[in-house]
Amino acid sequence: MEKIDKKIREIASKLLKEGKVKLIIGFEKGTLPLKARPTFVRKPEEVEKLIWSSLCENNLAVYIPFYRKQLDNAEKIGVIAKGCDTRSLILHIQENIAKREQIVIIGVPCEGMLDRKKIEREVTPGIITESTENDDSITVKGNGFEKTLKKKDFLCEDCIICSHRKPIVYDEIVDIEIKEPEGVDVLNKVNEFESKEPEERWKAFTEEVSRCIRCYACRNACPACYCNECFVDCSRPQWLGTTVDSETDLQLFQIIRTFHLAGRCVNCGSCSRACPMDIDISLLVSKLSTDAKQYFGYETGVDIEGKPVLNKYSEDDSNEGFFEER
Amino acid sequence: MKDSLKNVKYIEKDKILDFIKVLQKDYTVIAPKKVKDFVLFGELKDNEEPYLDFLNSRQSPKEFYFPQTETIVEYEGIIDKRVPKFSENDMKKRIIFGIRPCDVKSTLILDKLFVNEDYIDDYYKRLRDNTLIFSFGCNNPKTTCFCASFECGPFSEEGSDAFITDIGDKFIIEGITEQGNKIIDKLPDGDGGMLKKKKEIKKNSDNVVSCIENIQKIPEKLRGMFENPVWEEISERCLGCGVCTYLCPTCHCFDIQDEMIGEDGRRVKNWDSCMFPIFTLHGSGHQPREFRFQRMRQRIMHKFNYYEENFNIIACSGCGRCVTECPVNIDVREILEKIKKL
Repeated sequence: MEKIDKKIREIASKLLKEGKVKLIIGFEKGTLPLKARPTFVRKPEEVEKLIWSSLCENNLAVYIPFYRKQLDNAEKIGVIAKGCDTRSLILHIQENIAKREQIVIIGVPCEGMLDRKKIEREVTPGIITESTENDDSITVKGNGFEKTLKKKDFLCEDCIICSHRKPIVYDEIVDIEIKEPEGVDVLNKVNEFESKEPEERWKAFTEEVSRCIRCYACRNACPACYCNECFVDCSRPQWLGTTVDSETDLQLFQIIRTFHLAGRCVNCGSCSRACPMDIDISLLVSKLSTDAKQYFGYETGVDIEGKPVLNKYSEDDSNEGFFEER
Repeated sequence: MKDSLKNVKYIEKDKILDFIKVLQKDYTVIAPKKVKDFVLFGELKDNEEPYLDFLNSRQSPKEFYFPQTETIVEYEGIIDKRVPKFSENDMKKRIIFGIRPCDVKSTLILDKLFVNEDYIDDYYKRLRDNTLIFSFGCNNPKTTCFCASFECGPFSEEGSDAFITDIGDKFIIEGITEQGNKIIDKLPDGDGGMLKKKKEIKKNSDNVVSCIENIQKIPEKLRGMFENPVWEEISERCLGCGVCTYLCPTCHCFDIQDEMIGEDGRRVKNWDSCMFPIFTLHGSGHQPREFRFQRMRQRIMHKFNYYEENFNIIACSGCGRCVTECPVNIDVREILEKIKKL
């Protein structure tokens, strides 16, 4: 990991010194064990805080829409990006949030991020106070225990089924060898759920979202959720009730949000990780990703030349799913 | 000597359900329950055991005094002839069983706002007056707990009617108020050995739990900091979600909404969050807190300056929920240390 840190800092320092970017968004060590967090670097002397680890779970593309004013002023922003981050950045470029040349992508191949909650569960009732990472394992220490865990057993759910771990596009790259995993597909996750009876699926969905507290962490952690005014906040007209005692409103919030992400979600899993009530939100959104793939052979953010699936029409488009008789 | 322990009772761990059943004859019992891999407070059903092997609940139990959605009034009919319907006042008394001292402290903090000499929130007061508190000492404070900074601590009894301690094979329950004592009266008496065990556990917890030194200086320090550039620095990574405020046991902003179907409807009070872009958005479209730094400033100022100016107490009890659950690891302890150094 230190090698990667060094390389990232080198690249960041160079970009800032040469004036190629004014801001670099990357990761720094967090204040909690098992936590890295987004950080913002503007001066070459600040690059020392940049790090890389298997705890860099946030999709940093989420910050790009916050800088629309700077982007309108033709400023350039550097982003340290995993596979999923690059896919979201491509989405932003396709949706005209930024021009390709305004985003300087510092690609870092990713081997999947670790799920902090899974690791904490594994060592319960121990309380983790520090962690050290090696190539394939992570060692956690706490009050009277020390445990070394295999990273591959504690990956985030959405990282397990990720098939785009290498940055799709980049301007600079941290050159490390990783293998794209074989035989994994978002479909695996969706198929398992879809094989259940409709009643069972509805029950599982309604139980999950009944815990929703409408903190909107799923929305705000999502790089594709950047509307100036979200439909839940709109009061003229008011699309949705505002309470938590209406189950329908909780369900509608998740359903409508999901539809807004059709062909736009990159399955980074940020929504599920951000949810303080552990609702598996990404499962729902993944369904539309698989539909896009199944019906239109489309995957979000893997082809920078292409157009988003809902922005183009072809006579050859599949009608399947539109006029399905049941 | 036995006499001096008359307020100390004990209960074997495998008998806890029997005790809950006794309580349920006269009270609704709200206790920690396991939900997936975490814990939330909720009403215990018949034969449901509380889940007491926990560090703290994911969300604070403030919703039991200050519900996230609360109907203030219902109405029917056309506007001039509308008849408001307020709900009846009789409710079954409740016991919050197993609430941690930081969350009790937070309740006392909220009391100052909702029930004071200038203003009484009848909705809050009704729920509060009908609730007894059986708080639960923390044998294993988390690394993110900093309750000791706020005249609280893992074994602080302030605000409790009875206090529960896990001493291994059994719980000891100490009566604090007259009502608390009356409820636990029938349990077997504890002895000095049990209290000694509690003392050791308490000592260990007090040593472990962290404390932000000189926190009382923060309100004064913040007084001149409204225009400080530090707010932009602190808030740059903020995503603007409501995790910190909605898990917080002391955040108390709310919004009033009318929900109508035809001519009939209800007026509801919903939690609001200063982190949201529509928080305090004016009808005119003007937004006094347009940027994330202004909203972050509001959160910190409200807790550590405005509230202290109004009620002489800081609106934080150090439960650490905002620290552990923030999706981007914004850490209020770090912010406070930073402010102290400025």
